[in-house]
Amino acid sequence: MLKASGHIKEVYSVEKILEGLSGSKIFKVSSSDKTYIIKFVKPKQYSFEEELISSQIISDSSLGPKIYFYDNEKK
Amino acid sequence: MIVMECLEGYLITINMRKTKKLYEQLARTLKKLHNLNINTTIPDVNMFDLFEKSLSLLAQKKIDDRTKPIIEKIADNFKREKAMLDLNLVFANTVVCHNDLSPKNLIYKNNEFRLIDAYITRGDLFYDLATIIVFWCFDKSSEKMLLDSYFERELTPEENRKLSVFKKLAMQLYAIRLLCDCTGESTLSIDTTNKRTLLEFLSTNNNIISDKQILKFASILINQSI
Repeated sequence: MLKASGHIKEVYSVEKILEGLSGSKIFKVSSSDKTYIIKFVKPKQYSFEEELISSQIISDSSLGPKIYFYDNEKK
Repeated sequence: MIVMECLEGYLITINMRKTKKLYEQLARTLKKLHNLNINTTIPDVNMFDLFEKSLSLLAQKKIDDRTKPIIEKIADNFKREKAMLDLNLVFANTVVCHNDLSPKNLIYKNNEFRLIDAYITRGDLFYDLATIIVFWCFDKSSEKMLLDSYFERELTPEENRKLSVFKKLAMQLYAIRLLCDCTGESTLSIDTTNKRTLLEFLSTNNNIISDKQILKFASILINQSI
C-alpha cells in the first residue's frame, strides 16, 4: 500500500519501535533512499483526528518530524 | 496511518544532563512550542482533565487486590491536591502544550531538540515543565538551570508551590497512562518493593514495549511520588 502511494519505493526493513502513550503502533521503515516512521493510530486515549492535528502542528512549526502522508481510513 | 520523517537523535548522557547548554536548548524548544500562534482549533485540556480521563480508563482494567489501594490513594491525593490549588493560578499560564515530554519524545541532534508524539492542547505550561523536570533533572541544580533558562527570572512562591504539586502529579499521571497502555492480558500489579530509581531505569531501558517493563516503570514512578 505504501509503495502504491508513491511515497516509498522499496522497503528494506521494518522494525517495531516504542509505543506512544496513545497506544498507537509505531514502525520504522527503511527504504532505498530514506527511513520513515509509520504510526498506526489506535484511538484509545486520543482520536485519529487529534493525533493528526498534533502531528501537523509539530510538523508545520518545524519542531518535529515532517508528515509525508496520512490516511484516515487505515488508522 | 501517518507516515512521517524519521528523526534519529543522540543519546543524552548523564554528564550532558549536568550542562547549562542542554537546558538552554530544552527551554528554547519548549518556549517556541508554548508560544506558537496556531489557527487550528485544539482542545482545552489541562493536566487535571488528563488525570481524570486516565483514571477512568484505568478503572476498566483488571487490577490486583494489592494494587487497587495504591490507585485509590493516587486518586484521593489527586482530588486533594486539585482542591488545594488556587484554580485562578492553575489557569493563569495557558499555552500550546505537548503533554508527553518524557525523554523518548525529545530527539536531540545538531544542538537542538525536536519533539515527537505530541498531544497538542491548550494547557498549563507548568505541566510540560514539570514533566521535563521529573524525567530530566535529577538534582536541584539542573532543575534550576532549566527554570532559569525558561523564565529568565525567579519563580514566585505561588509558582514554586504549583510546580511542586505538578511534579508529583506528572509522575503519577505518567504511571497511570502507562498502566492504561498495558495490553490487558494480565492483571495489573504494582511492585511496591521496587527501589530502583527513575534514572537507573531510564539508563537501561530505551525501548519500553512489554507489559512487564511498563509495570516496572509505573512502579518506580508511583513509589517515588507517593
